[in-house]
Amino acid sequence: MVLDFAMKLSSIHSKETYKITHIEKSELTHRLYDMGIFPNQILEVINRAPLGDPMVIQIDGQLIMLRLSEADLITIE
Amino acid sequence: MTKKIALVGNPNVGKSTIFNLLTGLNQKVGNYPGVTVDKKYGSLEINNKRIEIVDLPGTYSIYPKTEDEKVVYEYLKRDTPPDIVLVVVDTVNLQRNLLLFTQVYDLKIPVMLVLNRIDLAKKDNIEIPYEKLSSLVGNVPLIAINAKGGNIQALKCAIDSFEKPASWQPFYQSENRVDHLRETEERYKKIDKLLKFLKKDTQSKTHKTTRYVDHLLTHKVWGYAIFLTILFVIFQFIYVFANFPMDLIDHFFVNSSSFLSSILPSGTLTSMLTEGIIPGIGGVVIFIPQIAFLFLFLTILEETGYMTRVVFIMDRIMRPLGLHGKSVVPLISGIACAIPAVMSSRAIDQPKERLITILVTPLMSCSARLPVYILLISLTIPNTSIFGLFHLQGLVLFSMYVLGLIAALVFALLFQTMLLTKSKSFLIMEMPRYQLPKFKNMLFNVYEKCKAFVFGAGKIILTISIVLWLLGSYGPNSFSQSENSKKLISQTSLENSFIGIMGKQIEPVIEPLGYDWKIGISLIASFAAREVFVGTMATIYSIDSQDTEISLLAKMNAEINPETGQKRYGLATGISLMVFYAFAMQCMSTLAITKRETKSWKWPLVQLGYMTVLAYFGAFFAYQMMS
Repeated sequence: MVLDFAMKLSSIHSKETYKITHIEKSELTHRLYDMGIFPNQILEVINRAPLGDPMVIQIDGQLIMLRLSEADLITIE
Repeated sequence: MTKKIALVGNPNVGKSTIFNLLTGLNQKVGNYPGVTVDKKYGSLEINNKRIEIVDLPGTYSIYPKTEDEKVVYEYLKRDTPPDIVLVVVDTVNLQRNLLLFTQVYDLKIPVMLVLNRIDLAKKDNIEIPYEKLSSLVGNVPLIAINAKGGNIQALKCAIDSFEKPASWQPFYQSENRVDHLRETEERYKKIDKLLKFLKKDTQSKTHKTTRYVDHLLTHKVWGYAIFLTILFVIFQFIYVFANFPMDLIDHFFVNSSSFLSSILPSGTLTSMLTEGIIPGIGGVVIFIPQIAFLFLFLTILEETGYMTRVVFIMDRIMRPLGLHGKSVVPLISGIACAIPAVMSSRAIDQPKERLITILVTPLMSCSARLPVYILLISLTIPNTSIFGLFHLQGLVLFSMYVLGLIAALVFALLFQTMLLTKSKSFLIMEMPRYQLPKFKNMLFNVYEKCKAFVFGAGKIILTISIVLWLLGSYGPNSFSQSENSKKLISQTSLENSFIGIMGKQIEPVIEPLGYDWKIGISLIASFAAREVFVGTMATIYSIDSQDTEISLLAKMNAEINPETGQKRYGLATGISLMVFYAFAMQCMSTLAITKRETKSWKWPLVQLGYMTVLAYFGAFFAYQMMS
């Protein structure tokens, strides 16, 4: 199963490239989609804020910051 | 017929730059009915044809979820849609930008695609065959520009020769309008297919620079140190550099007042002009240098992209206080003026965090307090330097801002525990790459803010100056019948005037704060707007002494407290007054804005109540401790 490799974006610390596999349905899903964050997109984890939260990812050439609570909605591999 | 154009685009794509270049100074800011989104509109002429243009708020989508999106959606869906919608996209990030484009295109209104930042795209090695792209997006007229470069002649020509493509083929056929997520996904799939021909180097040089700079500016030590240093430098700079033009303005108004009173025949009108109107106008104009400098710096922080980094490093700190990383922007803008600051809180999507931000933002020391601080600091704080490095007066000024900030944070925490609504909070925000601020945008913004201050606050200040002159020149005795039973209206001394009586009546209440009735008058008068304090002082002292040639500062400095035999404006009274002004809710406009933003009178009244109590007791303790 692919699920073995599935992780939550919020748990990632290493600055590597991942692929979005799933986005949990919530009232924020639409915002994520509008910002270009949706399944099959490739993202790169860039950095975390000094206090560990929020985090910055790069998606399609754009830097986007989001809190760990939002990153929790995003499953990657 | 006048052509109507609308500008649409994601945030940070350079829409405002294009708008400024197109309209120049022919632009206005208004409001959309029912919502609190700024409506920016203006006009331009191309080949002697007049064109009206609207700059719609930046959005990622037109599906009405936020107020900004609602405005865009409703504007485009009106019965009379604009003649051309210019969809401005960032060439570096076409995928996401084109989402909005396909949505607008599918509304079946005339669209033109404006690719901005082609210079950056070139640096990123993004080669775009424009004709091919245009043919892929329904033969929509397409124009590629670099608005930062300042030349948009090509765009003007394209607008002039605009022609709707003959056919129209929607990107997404809506058989099921409800499932927006699926629709968005489908649109992205289409866009991906369209963009397949583009070669892209994601590890671009520009991003390396941005990421390198980010590493420093969001560092756990340097990030905060740099942020504080920037704020500190800004305030030192304002203090040092705004002084010279302010002195000039001050002298100009003092001199014209005395000049006019020497050449005009003496009488009520002359006295109204030289003691009411001219000092009143002077009291408005003198703040322009500071406001201009402050907004200049705020615009630079915003335009370079630094402001979002501040949100990034501050979010975790603001959260336990019941605030949001985005609250930093209203709070910092509050340093300039609480009115736009309260309005900018709209960027915060959560009702509770937004409300708390609105409630505490007026505690940030706004530019209207600056003249009060400056007057009191130059009056009561010695003009020396510490360690031969820091200007003591500048340091005190900085401390006043810190005091306001601390009060705002403490009260945010209090409101956080008092307001019980539990709503989910979030933060998803783009971090634009760093760029040099555009000089023209900076000037426009500074001009806009100064204009808003002069014509907005200025009107109130001038009116109050005249009313005050009336109340200060006449009293109950002025209207008594004289011995010859001839009706006589005569000027009276300030002490016996209406305002003197009012000021004296509140003297017992404000005495523990170290104030006399003259300060009492100014407190009453500046309830509507803080900056009136200085104007009122000017009016009071110009009525009180006949000599108009001495500046307000010298007059106030010479004032002696009859009880102590010391200067009326000593250190204790000065600090107490500054603390009072730091905390008091003396701004009708802010209360009105709070009412509009919260859609209830409850919250402005809460604001007025807690800030007045805080101001009184803050000033009380300050005075009692210092004296």
